[in-house]
Amino acid sequence: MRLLINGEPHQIQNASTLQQLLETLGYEPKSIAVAIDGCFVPRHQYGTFELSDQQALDVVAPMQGG
Amino acid sequence: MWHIGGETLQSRLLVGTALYPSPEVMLKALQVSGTQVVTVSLRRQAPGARGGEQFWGMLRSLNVHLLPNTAGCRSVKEAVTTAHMARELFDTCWIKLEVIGDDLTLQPDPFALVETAKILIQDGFEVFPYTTEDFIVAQRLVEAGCSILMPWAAPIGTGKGLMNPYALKLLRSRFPQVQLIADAGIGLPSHAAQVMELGFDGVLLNSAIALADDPVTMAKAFALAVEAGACAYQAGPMPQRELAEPSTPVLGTPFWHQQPSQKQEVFS
Repeated sequence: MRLLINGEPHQIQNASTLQQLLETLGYEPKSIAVAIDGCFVPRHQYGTFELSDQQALDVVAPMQGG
Repeated sequence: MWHIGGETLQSRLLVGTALYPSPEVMLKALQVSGTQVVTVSLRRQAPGARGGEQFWGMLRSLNVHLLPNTAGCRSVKEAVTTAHMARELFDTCWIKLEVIGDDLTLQPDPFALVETAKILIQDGFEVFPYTTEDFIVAQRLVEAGCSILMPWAAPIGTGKGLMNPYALKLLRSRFPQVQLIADAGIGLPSHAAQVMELGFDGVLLNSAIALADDPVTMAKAFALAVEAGACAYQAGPMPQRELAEPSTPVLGTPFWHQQPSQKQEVFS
């Protein structure tokens, strides 16, 4: 499955749900938030959210801001 | 003491967390400022990176309210999605809503701003909209359900101070029940004091402290200025006059109304 993660192309295997993907990539779910194709995905849906080929993920974390 | 977004605060100074020379200076400046609300943002996190967690840890140590922003958003959809991500990540319904319409001035897109504010208020957010000083836009935001308005003093990061004090004063007089916070363009403590003297409820700034030669001392200066301006508004400034008016009573002062002719009449 080809995914665009934070603007970078990735070839993903062995992950069909969002939770599996995040674990595979080493993300700590409580420290991030996720949008797929521009739409927010709540944390409680990670385990049931089925990924599809060519989706674009934004994985964000806290940062300094004004 | 004042109330905003369901919270009761002592400090009327809201401070950003960006652009400081180091995390240690940021922490010290925020502590010295006495702020109880700091703005934060979101950024893409690479797999395996831990930068966000470190910053999150620092924020927790401050024990302040977090006000996430939607910086960088240029459409309704981007801003709505970012707001939802921020709510989950920072565990707050407060959102500093920024929908930028122009890259050079970072001027808010008022049409997208109002539309986004409506959506987010329906979704249960407490919206802090970053807007211009335009009265009609402010009116639309209030009609959309905003109880807080954050008009700019000047474009973000310019430090120019109040470009249109007339319009800011008008907002205060026309929206007495709305919490008004000047956001962006403040460069000096005197600018912050001026905003508060107009009757604003608070001041939000970042660059003016973070980019000072000594951010910690500047944070103290802003804390004092905001408090001074708020006290001045509460005290009720004297009315301005077009002509001079002596402050020392003239009646009985030496030589008062004494003309040479009077002296001649007395002794003649």
